[in-house]
Amino acid sequence: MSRLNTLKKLESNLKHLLTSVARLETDQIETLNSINVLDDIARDSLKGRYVNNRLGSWMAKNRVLVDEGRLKKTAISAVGNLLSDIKNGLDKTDPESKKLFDEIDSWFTKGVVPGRRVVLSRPPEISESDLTEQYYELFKKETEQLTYYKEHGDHILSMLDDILKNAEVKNDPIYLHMAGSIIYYLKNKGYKIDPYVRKLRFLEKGEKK
Amino acid sequence: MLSKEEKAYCSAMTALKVEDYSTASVFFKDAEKQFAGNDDFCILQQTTDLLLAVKKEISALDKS
Repeated sequence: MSRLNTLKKLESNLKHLLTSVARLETDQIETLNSINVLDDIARDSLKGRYVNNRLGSWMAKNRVLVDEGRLKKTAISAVGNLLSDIKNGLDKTDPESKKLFDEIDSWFTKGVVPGRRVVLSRPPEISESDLTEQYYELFKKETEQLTYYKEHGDHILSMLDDILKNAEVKNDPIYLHMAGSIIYYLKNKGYKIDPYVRKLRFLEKGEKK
Repeated sequence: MLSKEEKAYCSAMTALKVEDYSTASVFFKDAEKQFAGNDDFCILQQTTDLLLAVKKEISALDKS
């Protein structure tokens, strides 16, 4: 077999493979496209664009897909979330939008698609060893900062003032930590620290907001 | 909302369905970041790219 013939045979086999996959996945491709279109509508709706006609057409066309149970669970969930997003952006004072709003509600009520799932989230857990590592890194950075102040011959109170100023203008918790540490040190040395504590508490509240 | 990659994967599959392999390849590339670890995705992307390479080779041989 010539090189050309071999390549043509290979081309035909590859095309056959891809066509077969596409045929097998026809339903899934249709579903994906449908969700993709709804996603575009949701994005436009969030931008404040008029989506009523497209949404109405989408719902009319896809009701069958949903009614006949041709959507997988994940797809139903995606549709539910997108419809929730769109619903929130509809103006209920406009009769046409209100109609679509009610239609989406009826989909939810009839259980055609589930309502948005509430996801309870919390910060990712940090292992003890990670925490130690993080603290070490923080301490290392603080030491570098302190070295800078020491090399400039700053008094500890001037240094504290400067650190509190940095905490005020920069969104970096390292300055709050440094200030807290210095204030505690000064307290143990018998210094009057109340004004610094008040300032730190004030900044800390701002940080949490 | 769908991610950029999910939308690209979806467009790639649609392009495959209509046998538009060049477009499919472009969309597969766009979806790569999220789906590179997915076996089905890798097979489809590599098969599409191989088919395009074969087509290119055939075209070059035809011309010569």
